Amino acid sequence: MIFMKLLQVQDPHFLPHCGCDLQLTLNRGEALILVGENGIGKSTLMKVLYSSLKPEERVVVEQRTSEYFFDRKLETLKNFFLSGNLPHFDEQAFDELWRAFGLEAREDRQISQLSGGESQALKLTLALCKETSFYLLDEPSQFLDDHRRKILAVYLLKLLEKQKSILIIEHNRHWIPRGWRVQDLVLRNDTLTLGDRWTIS
Amino acid sequence: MDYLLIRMTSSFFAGVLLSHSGSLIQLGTRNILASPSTLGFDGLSILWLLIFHSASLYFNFNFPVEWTFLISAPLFIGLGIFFPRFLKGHLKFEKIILLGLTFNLLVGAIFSLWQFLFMAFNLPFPVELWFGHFRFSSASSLMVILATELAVIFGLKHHFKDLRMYSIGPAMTLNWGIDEKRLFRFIFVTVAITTLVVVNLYGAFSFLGLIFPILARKMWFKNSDLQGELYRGALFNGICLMLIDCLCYFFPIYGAEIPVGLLVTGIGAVSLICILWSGYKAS
Repeated sequence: MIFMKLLQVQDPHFLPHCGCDLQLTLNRGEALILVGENGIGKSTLMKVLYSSLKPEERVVVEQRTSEYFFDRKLETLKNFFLSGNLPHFDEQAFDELWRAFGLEAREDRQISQLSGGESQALKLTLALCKETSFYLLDEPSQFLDDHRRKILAVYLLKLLEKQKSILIIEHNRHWIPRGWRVQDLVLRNDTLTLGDRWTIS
Repeated sequence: MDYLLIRMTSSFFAGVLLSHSGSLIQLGTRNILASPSTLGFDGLSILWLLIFHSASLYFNFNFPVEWTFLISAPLFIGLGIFFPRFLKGHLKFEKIILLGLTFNLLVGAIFSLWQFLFMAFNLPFPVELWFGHFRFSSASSLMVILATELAVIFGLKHHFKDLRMYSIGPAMTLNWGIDEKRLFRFIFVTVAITTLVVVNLYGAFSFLGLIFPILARKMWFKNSDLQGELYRGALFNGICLMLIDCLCYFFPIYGAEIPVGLLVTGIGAVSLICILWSGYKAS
């Protein structure tokens, strides 16, 4: 069953150096990995994708590094999320990820004291605890060690079981579970378009 | 009411307002170097009030400062609404700060020239605009600043959840459905109006909007999250400005009172140098 035609972009000025002409579909309960060379516009495409979806039906994890302006203890952050009465907040998912990523043991630390991997794990936890239909992740595994990548993969598989749709931009494919679809993005005649498609085996 | 009581209350609320506007502008821009002074809000208020003062003299109007505020407020609300668009452009934030500081320097030059001309023609000149003080505090000006503070507190209460979410990270705005435009409008309109109120009623206190939030953050924030900075931190900063003003009042030098604005601008400028220096060392 086709859940949604995600995007049909025909924009000759997509980026200063290239246009875009592609169409992507994403089925319910399916994960699609977008791959492609650096600088061809994958992250920009992600931005176009999430702006085409309603805020309540999507979650985004961007590639930004300096995410936090105010430094605060992880414990304070956790309490805010647990008591914040946030719409679509999945407390069970939050608890699960918080523990699995080992953030529980870091609760007395300031955000600024976290390592790159821990900081990325925190970012993923704060995003993936939202119950929604589409999960758009731009290089979610960056800075994560193998153990945390495995946790991420297991959690994403659970989301698929719940019939959620996941779109990931990723260069590192080692952690991606078998059976997930991969879509290559290529530049052809100065236009970003679809290339080969295969399945992780 | 007793003059001293009015004066102390006025300096306290001016400190609280400056602390709020500094915290909000730093949160909105996500940069600790942002403040009403470094982004040019102070300079613009001074320039506008200077033009207003000259026009009043020329057309022989005599508005009290409270009316000046009411007449100028729509212009500054417009500035607050427009300003976020400027930030969304392609300029790097450091360049925007440089632009703000340069604009302040330009206003300083215009101010001096204007003062020279006014003195040459023997006209009254609002010298206190550049270095603020609380010598002319009155019950009516206290009412204006009190009303502004109440409006700011009401706005903070109303937007608090969004502000806290935004303080975690920009991704939170995307994921948890925060209306960024509405939030930015609140932040920058508050900054523009509070700066206008303080400059109009008491003159400029440059760099206080920069240093106060940093002080509040260092002292309260780690334990109490954003409300620590916005409420207890602002309270502490209000008391600080009140005490510095008391110092100026009770310890005049050869009978002349040092403008508290002069004192705190000096402290603020040195603090800015220290922040930049520590950033440079850390890099």
